[in-house]
Amino acid sequence: MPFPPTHEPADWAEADSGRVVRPYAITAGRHTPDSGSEFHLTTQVSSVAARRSTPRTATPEQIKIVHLCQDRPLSVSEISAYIDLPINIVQILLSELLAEDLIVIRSPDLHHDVPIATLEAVLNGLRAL
Amino acid sequence: MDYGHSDTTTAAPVTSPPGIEHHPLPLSVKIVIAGGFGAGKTTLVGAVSEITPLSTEERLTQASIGVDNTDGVQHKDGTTVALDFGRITIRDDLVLYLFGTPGQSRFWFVWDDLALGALGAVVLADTRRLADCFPSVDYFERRDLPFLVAVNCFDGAQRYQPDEVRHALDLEPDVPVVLCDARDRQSAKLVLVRLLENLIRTRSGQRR
Repeated sequence: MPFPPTHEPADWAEADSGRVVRPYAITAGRHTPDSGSEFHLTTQVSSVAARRSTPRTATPEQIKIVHLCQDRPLSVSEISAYIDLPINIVQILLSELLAEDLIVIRSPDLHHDVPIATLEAVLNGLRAL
Repeated sequence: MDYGHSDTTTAAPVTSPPGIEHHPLPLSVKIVIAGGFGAGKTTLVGAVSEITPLSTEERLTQASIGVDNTDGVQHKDGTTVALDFGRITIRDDLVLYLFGTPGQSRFWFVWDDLALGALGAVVLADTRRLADCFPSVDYFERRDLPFLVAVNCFDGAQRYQPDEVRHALDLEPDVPVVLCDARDRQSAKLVLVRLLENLIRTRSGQRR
């Protein structure tokens, strides 16, 4: 697998749809998450309380995510929207954070019907709006 | 707290290191909001969402898009497709997400991501351009994802009866057709309520 080119400081000034750093530079050239199949659009993410002080090796984007998810869980999609990075990139960052035990996640089961009790709970919640 | 144990009501395992404290993670479910361009998808999501609709991007690889990809935003690294979505917290342990389909129906790769594991879908019909929702109806029929059609009543648009829309879209008899105003919270809420009622009715009626 070819290494991505290193980014010179001049690249930071390049206009690229509003983003200064090219997305694959954020992920150090990785293109697929280790456990990407778990990070669905609605997978819930929460920071681990005991690990709120992130390691020195954490990147700015990783730190942003940990802070974002420390007060309440957020979905992969919400994280992507709030930090303004594509889902694909966020999935890679989250797999790194998960490997470091900085976050915990809960993935939806996309291959089985939810129980009727869950449908009824959703219905009741909607009716209460 | 039970870590690493399955939640018996949802059968979804929680991935966490034992003994580590964190906020309990809710179960997440989603409903897809589809329809033609300008039909009112983001409006409807915004009417019921507890947050202002957010926008996220999915990046498509060259392998997943066709040659004609002028409708996405072109970057050197590929094409990205924007998705609008909202959320409704049902309970501490249950969150509902509403995802709008991309502006153009050609991004089936993204539609597949949205439809996978969804409770069901709403197809918003704009009576000024009824044919625009044919692709959505076709898609959900082929995927066998339960859906209903919500006729968005725009000011000045000709009023159609649900039966006329049903006939024009050639819908199966078990697909509900409802009228709505996507801008109105109560009206939008009733669309989702109707979808859930239909899902429960269908599920209860199945013999296993």
